[in-house]
Amino acid sequence: MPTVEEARLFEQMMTYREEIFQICLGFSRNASDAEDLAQEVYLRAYKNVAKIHSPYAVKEWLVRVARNTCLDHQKKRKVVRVFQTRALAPEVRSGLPEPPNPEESEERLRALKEAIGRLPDRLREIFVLRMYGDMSYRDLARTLRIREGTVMSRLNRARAAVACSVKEALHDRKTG
Amino acid sequence: MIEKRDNPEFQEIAGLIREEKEQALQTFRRGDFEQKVRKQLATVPMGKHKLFEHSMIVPASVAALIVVAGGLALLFLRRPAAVSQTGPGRMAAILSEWPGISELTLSSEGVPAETTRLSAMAQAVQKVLMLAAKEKEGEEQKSLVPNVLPKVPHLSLEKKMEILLKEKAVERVLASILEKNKEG
Repeated sequence: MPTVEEARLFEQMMTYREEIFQICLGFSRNASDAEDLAQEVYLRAYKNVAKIHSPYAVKEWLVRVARNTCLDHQKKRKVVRVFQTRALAPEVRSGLPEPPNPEESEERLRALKEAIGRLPDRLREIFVLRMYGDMSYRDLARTLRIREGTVMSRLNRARAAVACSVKEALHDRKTG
Repeated sequence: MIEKRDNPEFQEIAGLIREEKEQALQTFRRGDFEQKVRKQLATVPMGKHKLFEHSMIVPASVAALIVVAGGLALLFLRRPAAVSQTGPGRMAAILSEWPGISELTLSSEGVPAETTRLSAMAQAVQKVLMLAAKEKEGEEQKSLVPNVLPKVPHLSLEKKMEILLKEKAVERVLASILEKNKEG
C-alpha cells in the first residue's frame, strides 16, 4: 500500500505521461508499442519510486527510467530478431511475398525509424529525447549527466547520421 | 522541433517526426492510459525503501583513513606518560634492577671504595648511583624552594620625588661635564 506521499508523487508523475509516451514513440516502431512501453515505464517507476532523491527532480528521473526501459526493450528485440533471421533459411525468406508498396510518407517514416534504430545508444537517446521528448539542451545534460557541449555535439552527429541514412534508404528503395 | 541552422533535409525529417507525434498523441489521448496503468499497478508490490531516502556512500579510502585516525587517537590516549629520566638517573634505574648491583650498593653505602676492595667496574657503577642520588636530591630541593621574588619596598610620594630630584641633579652635572670635555 503506497503512502500518501508516494501516491502524490505518482500523481505528479502521471502529469508527464504524454512526454513519456512521445519518448517511447521515438524508441519504438509505432504508437501501440509506444503505449505498451510507457505503461512499462510507469510500472518500473512505481516499483522504484523510493529511489527518487528529490521531489524536484521527478521528471528528470522519470525520463531516465523511460530511456533505460526503452533501451532495454530494444536490446531484447534485437536478440529476438537475430534468432528469427537465423531460423529462416535464405531460400525460404526469398519465397515470402513482397510487402505492398506503402505511401510515400509511410515509407519515409519507416526509413526514419530504421535510421533511428541503427544509431548507437548514446546518439539515439539524445536524438529521441530532443526530437520526440522536446527536451532542452540543459535538461538533456542534466538527465543524461553529461555536459551541454557533449549534448550538442552528439545531437549534431545523430542528426547527420539520421539524415544520411534516410536519404540512402529512400534512394535504395527507388532504385532497387 | 526545427533548428534554425538545420539543412532542408533535416527540416523534412523534423516535420515527419512532428506529424508522427501528433497522430500518435491523438490515439494516445483517446485511450485511457491512466486507468490502464492503475489497473496494472494494483497487482504490483511496492519497494521497501523510504521515500527520498539518501544513501550515504563513503569511499573506501576515506573510511580507512577515519579508522586509522581513530586507532591512532585511541593509542595516543591510552599510552602511559614517557619517562623523563635522563643521564645518571636513567642509568641508575637500569642498574638497580640488576640483583648483584643492588646488593652491592646496599652493602657499600657510606664506606670508602678502598676498604671494600671493589673492582674498577663496581666503583664506576657506584659512582653513577651516587651521582643519580645527588641529582635526585638537588631536584627535590629545587622543588621545595618557593618561587618568590624579593619584595619592592613601598615608598611614599615625597621620598620618590626626592630620589627623582637627586637623579636629575646628578644627570645634569654629568651632562655639563661631558659638554665641557667636548669644548676643551
